[in-house]
Amino acid sequence: MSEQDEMDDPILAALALSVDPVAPPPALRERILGAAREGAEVVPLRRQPVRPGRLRLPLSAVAAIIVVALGAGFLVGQTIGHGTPPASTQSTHFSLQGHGPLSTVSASAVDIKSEGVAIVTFSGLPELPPGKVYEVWLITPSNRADAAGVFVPGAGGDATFAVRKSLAGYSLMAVTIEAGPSGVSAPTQQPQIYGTVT
Amino acid sequence: MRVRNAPDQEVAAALAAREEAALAELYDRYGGLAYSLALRILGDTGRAEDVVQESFLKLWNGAARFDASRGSLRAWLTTAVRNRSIDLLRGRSLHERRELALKPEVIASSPGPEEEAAGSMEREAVLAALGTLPDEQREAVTLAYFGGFTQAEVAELAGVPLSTIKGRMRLALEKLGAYLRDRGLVDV
Repeated sequence: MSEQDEMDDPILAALALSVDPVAPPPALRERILGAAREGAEVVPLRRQPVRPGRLRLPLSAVAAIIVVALGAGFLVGQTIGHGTPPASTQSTHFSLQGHGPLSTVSASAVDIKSEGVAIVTFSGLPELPPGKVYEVWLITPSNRADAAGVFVPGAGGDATFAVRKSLAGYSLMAVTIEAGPSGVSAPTQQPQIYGTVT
Repeated sequence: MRVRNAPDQEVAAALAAREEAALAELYDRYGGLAYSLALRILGDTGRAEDVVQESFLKLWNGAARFDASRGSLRAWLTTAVRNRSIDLLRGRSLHERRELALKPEVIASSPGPEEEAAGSMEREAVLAALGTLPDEQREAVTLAYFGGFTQAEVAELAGVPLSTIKGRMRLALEKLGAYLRDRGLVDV
């Protein structure tokens, strides 16, 4: 089969076995079996990546689109009295995932850039040992971890946490379990909940 | 055909015969690995699910052409997952791809006791093999496999000549190969 022709160097491919084991969502199994049952040949991805440069238009067409868009934006702005950029430029979404013993944890984050606040909604958080808190870290590309606050989840393992600072310049958001009630100034363990800031 | 614990060739034959039980068996064997790999590369649960679904269905639809002499179903599946994940990564910036590939060694380098206990023997062997490499060799193979970077891109990121990266990759693969072959772990 063609996919077998594409196999990586078997030594390099062995790195697949080194990944941190994470249990897939239980619904994924049925989703795959259901799609096979329905005879799906190609499964469209729900979310396509942004591929810069895929849309190729002549410069004149690009210029025309820009002129029309700017004109429309000006008219809309005049009509509704807002000079703010589109919502898509004001906020971004990303996710965090637990690994290892915290693989039940998932979180979705909304970075409201215009406000300098990110709201993170966690689920599946295990109960904390006595005297401990979850501490949120913002990590720079040079691996400096800045504390962003602490929280304690509710009885159901859910929590909503607000990061009250801009995420600009950070590449990762991570969570560790630290001593309460105020957390620590530097993480004392390898993060097992983390996600890429976008 | 009974597929529970059957060898790859029999599972592939059952897949080709459109036996749903074979797909279920394959998922039960390797669904966790496929998802973990996609999530490791992409860092996004939704996209990881999509990649796993797409990869299993590719295998479902292409099983008739499976040749066990050229590799295991697990190797085929992880290759499909890895390649599709890298395809999706290519829409992201080099910086983000690098961060994802190398994440997140922010504090310590040794795994905790829970992680060690949870890992399979194979995983521990591969991690141990990686642990034998000097940092620059480990980074080169990690960027290549998990980030999909070419050797030229790895050289650019590291700020060293391409010939240096080629040398690091060759040495790293030789060492990994020797370590893994000793433990019968070459074909994933």
